[in-house]
Amino acid sequence: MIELFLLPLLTGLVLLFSLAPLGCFVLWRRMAFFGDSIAHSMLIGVALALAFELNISLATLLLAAFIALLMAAFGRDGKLPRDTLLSIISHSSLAVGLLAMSVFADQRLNLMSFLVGDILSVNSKDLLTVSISSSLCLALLIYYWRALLGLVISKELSQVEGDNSAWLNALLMLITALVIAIAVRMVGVLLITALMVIPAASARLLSRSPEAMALLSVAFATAALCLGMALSFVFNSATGPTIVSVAALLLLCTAALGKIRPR
Amino acid sequence: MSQAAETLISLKQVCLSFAEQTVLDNINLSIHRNEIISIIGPNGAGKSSLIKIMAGLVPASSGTREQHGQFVLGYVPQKLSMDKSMPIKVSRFLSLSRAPKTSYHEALTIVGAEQLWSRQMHDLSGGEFQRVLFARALARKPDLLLLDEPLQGVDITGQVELYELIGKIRGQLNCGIAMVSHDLHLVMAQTDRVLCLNGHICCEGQPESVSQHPEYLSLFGQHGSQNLAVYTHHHDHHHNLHGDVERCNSSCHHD
Repeated sequence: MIELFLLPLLTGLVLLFSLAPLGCFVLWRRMAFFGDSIAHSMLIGVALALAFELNISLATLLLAAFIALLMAAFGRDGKLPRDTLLSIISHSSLAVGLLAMSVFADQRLNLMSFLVGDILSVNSKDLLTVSISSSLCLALLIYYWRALLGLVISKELSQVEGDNSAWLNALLMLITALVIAIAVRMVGVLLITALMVIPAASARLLSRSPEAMALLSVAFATAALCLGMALSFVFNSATGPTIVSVAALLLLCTAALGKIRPR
Repeated sequence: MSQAAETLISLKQVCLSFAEQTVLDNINLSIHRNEIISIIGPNGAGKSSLIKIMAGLVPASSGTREQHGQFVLGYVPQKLSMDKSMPIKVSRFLSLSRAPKTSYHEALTIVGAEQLWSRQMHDLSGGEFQRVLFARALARKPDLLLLDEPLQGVDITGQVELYELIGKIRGQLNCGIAMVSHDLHLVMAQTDRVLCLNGHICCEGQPESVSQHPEYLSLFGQHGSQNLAVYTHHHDHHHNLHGDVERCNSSCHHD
């Protein structure tokens, strides 16, 4: 029985090393709706892949990258505020995705596993894919860390100081899209943003530097993953929602401890 | 050509418009090394836009921006809203400029904010924050320093200090400085050239001549050309709670 959990656990852990620090960026840049938009559009990708008999992973990945670049290019200067725009994209793509799934994916796929994820179904090939893409994203994050921090704090200052902010912005969105596209498999399109944002929020409460926050967010996400998987094993509950619930509980505890203990 | 006359950037027939609104119209302007230009003008005159065009942050709708040679640019934005979700110390914030540590530590000391070194950015007051932004621009030892109302929120003694500092920095770094300001009187003493902007350049020249220029007077009114003085006078009466005048007596402590 334990082998059944070992592979998914390992895959999840590898994924978290890039997912959690990216969660900090999602928090810093208020990109939660961006994450949702990418995740929700995965459903459309899946439906399209089924309709045209394409490789599901490849189709969703390309769609995610496409949407990320589209948003990087047109995300500014609109009459509607950015979060309104993203909220519209996010929820329309969820609606269209669900519609498309109901048309194309009748008996072949379990819709629920796309919505809340199915981490237990990963195989060793998935572990390899996740390892490669997660390390790639983490390497890019580390290499561009200072520049990305500069971009997040002030696009104008980073530009004056010689960084190419348009390229950095596109890069950050692409990495986020890539990681979300991979992670959707684990916790599903509805919960993936939560798994990025909640550990980062817990880490924020305890840290005094962006680097500490990124590291702590990995710790919180790891704790949520391990505890969540153990609990879902014991109570035979859906894994994705259990992991996210544990993450939320950890956030509550951290916040409560912070209130009690004078700092 | 002498050092003082070396041109850093020049704008030629620069116009900027958003939608159908013209923000800047036919701006011709050069900034030289070792020169301080103050840009003044009413709200919405396009002062910030002009600084951003000079910084290369906003492309002009028409006209050209010419940069003469490679040089380091320093920019202090009017406002920088930082999300509280990122914990970051002043020292780390300054390090993002990619200047060496000694430079940004020195810059923070120069702007008189050394004690902020290990404070969190989001705990700073408005004036402290502006000083840190100023330090970040100085840390890179710029050849051209562009300041967009750099001293917002800095108290009045601090402003006098920092304007004097701007004068000193020009000497130390031998750089050109363009700054936007509302406060003409504090600026005047440190300025070589004043540019009065209201969409177009209304007038420009030495502080004394600009403050007498008819276009300037029509924008800012007579009182703008005179130094403000604190109006002091002695009260021989005061008002009671009903607003009625009462003569002062020995129990009266005002003034």
